[in-house]
Formats: sequence, structure tokens, C-alpha cells
Amino acid sequence: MEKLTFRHIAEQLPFAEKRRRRQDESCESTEASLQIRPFQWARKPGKTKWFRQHIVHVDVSPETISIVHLIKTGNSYYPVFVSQFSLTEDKTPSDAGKFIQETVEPIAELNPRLWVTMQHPAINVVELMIPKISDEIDIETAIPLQLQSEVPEFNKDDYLWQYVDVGDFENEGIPYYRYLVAFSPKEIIEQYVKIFAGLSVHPEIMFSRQFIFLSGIEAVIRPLSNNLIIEVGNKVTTLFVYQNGQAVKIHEVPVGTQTFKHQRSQFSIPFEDSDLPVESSLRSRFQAAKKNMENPRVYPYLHLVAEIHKVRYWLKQTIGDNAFQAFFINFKADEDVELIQCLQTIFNIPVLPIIASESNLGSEFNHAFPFVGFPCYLRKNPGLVPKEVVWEERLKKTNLGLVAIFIAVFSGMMMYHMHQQKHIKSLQGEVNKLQNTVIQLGEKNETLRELMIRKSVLRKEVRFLQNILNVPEDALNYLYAITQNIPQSFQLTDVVYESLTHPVFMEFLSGREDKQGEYGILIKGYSNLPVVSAETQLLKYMDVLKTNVPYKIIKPVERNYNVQRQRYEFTLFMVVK
Amino acid sequence: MNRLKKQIQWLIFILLGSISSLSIFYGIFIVNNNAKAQTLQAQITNYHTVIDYFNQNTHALEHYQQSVDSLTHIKDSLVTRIATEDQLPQVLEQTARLFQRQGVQVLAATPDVNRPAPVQTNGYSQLPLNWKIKGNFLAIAATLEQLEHLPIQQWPVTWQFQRDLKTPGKVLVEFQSRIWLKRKSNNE
Repeated sequence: MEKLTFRHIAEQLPFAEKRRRRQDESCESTEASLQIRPFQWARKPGKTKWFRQHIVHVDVSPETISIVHLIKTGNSYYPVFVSQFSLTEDKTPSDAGKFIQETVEPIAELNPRLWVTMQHPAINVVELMIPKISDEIDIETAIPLQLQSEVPEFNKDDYLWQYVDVGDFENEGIPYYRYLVAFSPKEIIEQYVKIFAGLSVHPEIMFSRQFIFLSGIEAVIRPLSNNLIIEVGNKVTTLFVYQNGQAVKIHEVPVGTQTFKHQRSQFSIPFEDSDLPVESSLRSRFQAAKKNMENPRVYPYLHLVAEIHKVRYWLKQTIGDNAFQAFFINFKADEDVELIQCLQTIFNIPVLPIIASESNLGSEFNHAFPFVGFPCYLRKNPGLVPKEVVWEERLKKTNLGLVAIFIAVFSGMMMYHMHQQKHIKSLQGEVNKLQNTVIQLGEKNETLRELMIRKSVLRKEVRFLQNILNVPEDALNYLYAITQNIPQSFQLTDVVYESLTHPVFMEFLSGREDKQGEYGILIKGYSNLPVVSAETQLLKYMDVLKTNVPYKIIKPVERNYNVQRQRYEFTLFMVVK
Repeated sequence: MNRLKKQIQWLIFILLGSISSLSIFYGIFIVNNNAKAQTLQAQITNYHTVIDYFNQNTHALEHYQQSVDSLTHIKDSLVTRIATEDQLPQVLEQTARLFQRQGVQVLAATPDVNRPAPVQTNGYSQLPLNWKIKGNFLAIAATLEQLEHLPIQQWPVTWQFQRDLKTPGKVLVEFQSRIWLKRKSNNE
């Protein structure tokens, strides 16, 4: 969107067609031209209050004090209001201070950033050329030194200074840095600092109005090639000299709209009779020009014309070229058409008016628009802000940072806490699940445990039963041993196997033996063999019994030959183990 | 100066407030959560150990069941060979039938119920049975040998053989056998 347009007045000028043609050509063209930059103003401030930044710009010119309140959101600026105070002759400095105080005080509560631009006879702008000895140059050291050598009254301790880099150039093969440097006595600045300090507002940027003009112009237009831009004020007119698209000089002329009006009323006074500082060579040329002029109203502008000639002369002396391709002039009123015509006639160069459109800030707030929002050229001077305020700002930032860190850490801890809670919940779920599994398995295990116990008990019972049912076969074995090994000639009549406590054994025991739990065997029989043979057989029988029956005692307790029955009778007594 | 003081006060307040609130939060929530999580983790580990143990034992369940079944069967078969107090007449009858089959004459059969028998564990005790029989020696010997194969086990402990002078070829035998008797306890 084009914010600056050439209005119908410009369209009616005879060189308008030529200018349009030039605009269509490349930006690199050496022809006189302007490249208009897109420039965005916010229609409304952002809704997000936290990200708004309030800016107060106080512009002090010889004619007026302008105060603009802006809201900056992102890269957009929204104008809230502008207030102007005319420094007419009847106004005192205290009136100006009161105006600033009353205007800024309500905004001071919003903690705005404060930019102050000043134009004052004591603030000077000079061009410095510093030889390019090395690629890296310490500007902060070099410029004051250079200023001290070129401006005798400059003192580093008593002056504040700012600079604009206007590019490099070569002279006789030596490269130079070129700077425009503005410098001002500290007391000029400090009187305003004191006013603002009373309102607890401290200037962030404070300095040369010329630079602000420059930056303001360059923010909205880009002059190409060799042009002269003329900013006509009420009392002062500023000339911006551009060579190859670079500003090389800012020159102020102490004439303005008011001067023009005043001189118009006295246009009958010849210029050559005036005491204006014009070189004698020029004076004669003006006289010649006067004769040729049809319109005598050109007189009021002759002082300005003379200064433009001075600038051209300076250009020729320093750069060697004094040719301007075009003049650009800010156009405020219809009366300025006369000035345009005058300059065009004298210099025979296209003079193009720069007219602000209705939609931009320039039309709404008049002069204020070039000064705001473009502090990029300016050097911040930390000395303007008191140490307490600097510390307060630092602490404020630290506090905000700490709060942000606290919020971040707390949020992190909250998130960690929530994560832990989730983890605990999942663990709890797993525990419950495992608990159920354990209960189920426990039931099975109970069964197993019961089975194990039952098995153990059963095994014990079975062993016990097997033990008790393991029948002692001694009684039958002894019976077989006694009956199956009997000699053929022997007949048994009584065979007893009883406990030793049985009465049948009473007569064979001495009474000393331990009878409890022991068993005895008593064998009674007879044989029809002769005694010796029967005795022999008995002994053999005893030997057999000894082999087959585990005995403690074995002895024949009776043996005799029964004459009546004619047989050998015997009784054997055994104690088994 | 007042605004600087105010900022310093804010700084102190923020530092103290944030440190204390973060510490309290950490102490109350984070530490507590960690402790809870550790406890639950320990429980989980413990449960896993128990489950592993249970799972190992579960495999042995079938084996134990088979062993118990087998032992129960053995026990049952063994128990049937032990008489209860109710079964005494049955014991005498079975024994008499055995003698009868072998042609052995039973002259007397007296279970010595009043005689105190040595009491074994589990309520088992031996009960002496006194027999007086008459018959062929070989038949009697065979009978004595078969006593233990009776359904209720019985075995001879002592014996007295005496030739029957009145009946040639026969012997009079007085013997004592024993059976295991399961006495009923008060609980049964």
C-alpha cells in the first residue's frame, strides 16, 4: 500500500510526466527518482495487553513542542494522540515545562518508553571523514577525537554526540569512513532530563531532530542518485543532501513559512538591499535573475535559494560534483507552489512535491509522523538514565525472569507430579492385579499344601501300618526248624514255644534271668535206638538246632532211658535270642 | 529510590516465595510420590516372587495328588487287614472256617479281650487270641502258615504241641495268635 502519493497538484506540474517515466525505470537508474517504501500503521492496537508497549515521543523544534503517544504491538505503531505547543514569543520556558509535565504525567503511569528529539541552535551537525586504516574501527573513540580536532569548542565530558554512517568513499586512493555527527552541550539536554525525571520517566533516546528527519525521510522514501530534499518548517528549513543515494550533508537555513509570509508582505524590498548573508558573486546573479523574473513574489525565497547555491558550492569543493538531478520538497500548503515554481525556474531542475496522503499519520498528525518509531540510526546514551533507574529496570527484568522461571519450574514440577500420579495409579493397578493373582494362586497353593501335609501323614500312616503288619515269623520258623530236622528215630511228644514267663519253664530257670520279652523252647521226645546211638542223634539234633535257631541257651535238661517203656527219653531247653 | 526498594522487596519476596513454595511442593508431593512409587514397586517385586513360587508349586500339584491317591489306596488296603472291635466275631468265624477247611478241629477259641495289650500309637493295639485245636500236624502247620493271609491279618506268637495219646496221628495244639485291633477313640 502506498502511503505517500503525488496528488493532483503534482500531477498538474509540467515535469510530472517525466517523473512518472523515471519511476518506471530501474531503481539503479542515475536519473532523479524516489522509491516509495511500504510503511504500515496499525489501525487498532493489539488486544493482548501484555504485549503492548507505550511510547511517548517528545519532539522539540524551534517552533513547536510535539508530544505523540503511540502503542507499539509487534512491528506496528498505533497513534493514540498528539499534542502540540507553539513556542511563540509570548511563551516562557516554564510554560513549555508545564505543558510537557501535564501531557506526559497521565501517560507516565503506563511506564512508557520515552523518545525525545530536539532541534536547538546549540545542536550542530558536522560531517566527519575518518581514514579507513583498518577494517574494524572503534567509532566510540575515533569520533570524539576527530570532533575535538575539527570543532574547537567540543569537549568529550561536556558534550553528548550521535552519529549516522553515510558510507565510505575514496579520495586520491585513500578510503574514508564518512559520518554525520550531531553534538550538543549536556546542559541543553539535561534541562529536559530534569523535567522528565520529576515524572519518573527517563528518556531512552534523546537527541538530534535533524537525524530524526533523516531517518524519518529514509523510512518512507528512498532517494536515489543525487537529490536535494527540502524540509520547510515554520522558522527553519532543513536541506538534506544526497549523493548517489547517500545523505552527505544536513544543512539548516533559518527561514521558513513564517519568514516567507513576512517577506511576501514586504516583497517590494529589493533582495540585494537586504542584509542577508549572500556572497557578492551570487548577489549580482540574483539581480540579473530579478530582472528576468515576471513574478516579483520570488523575493521571499531568495535567502533559501542562496543557501542552496552554498550547498552546491560545498559539493563542488568537497566531492567535485554539484549537479542535482531533482529537488524534493515537502508540500504543506498551496503557497508552496510558488516556492516550487521559483526553484524550478532558478535551478532549471525538476522540483517534486512530497505530499502525505490522508490515510497516513503524516496527514493526521502533521509534522509528527517522520519522527516516530525509527530510532535505528541513533546511538543510545546510557548516561541519560540515573543509575537507580537502570538498576530498577534490571531488577524488574530479573524479577520478571525469576517469576517466569518459577512458573516454568512449578509447571514442570506439576507436570512431573501428574506424571508421578499417573505412574502410581498404574503401579497401584498392577499391584491389585497381582494381588488377585496371588489370592487365586494362594487357593491353589492351599490345596497343594493340604496335599503335601496329607501325603506326609499318609506316608507316615502307611509306614506305620506296614511296620505293624510286618508279621514276625519267628514262631513258625522255629516250628519248622524243630519239626523238619528231627532224626528219623526220634518221636516228639511235646513241643512248646512260649514266653519265658510261662510256668512250663519255671523248673529250668535259675530265677536270675531276665524273663521279660524273651522266649524259650521246650522239646520233649523219645527214641527207640540204643542209648548211645540215641545220645549221638540227640547231639547231632542239637547241632542242627543251633544252626537254625538263634539261641542263647540250648541244653538237654533231661535224658534217660525209660526201662518201663524201653525207650530213650529226652527234654531239650532253649532260650532264643 | 522507592521504586528501586520496591523492586528489591519484590526480588526478595519472589526468591523466598518461589524457593519455599517449590520446596514445600517438592517435600509434600514429589517426595511422597517417590516413596509411594517405591513401596508399590517393592510390593510388585514381592508379588512376582510369590507368584513365581506358586507357579513352580502348581506344577507339582498333580504329582502330589497322584501320590496321595496312591498312598490312600495303600493305606485303605492295609487298614482292611486290621480288625475293629466290631469285627471280632468275624475274625473268629474266618479263622474257624480256615481250620475247618483243613480238617482241624477247634476245641477252644478265646479272644483275650480283658487282657491288657500293649497299646500302640494311633489307637492300634494287639489283641491276643487263644486257640486250642486238634488235628493232623501237617494240616495244623499249614493252617498256622495261612493265618496271616486271612482278610484280617493274624499271626501265631506262641504254641504248644502235644501228641494226642488217645488218637494216634493227631496232635493237640494250644497256640496264641494276635491280630491288630483298631480301638475306637472317643472322637470317632
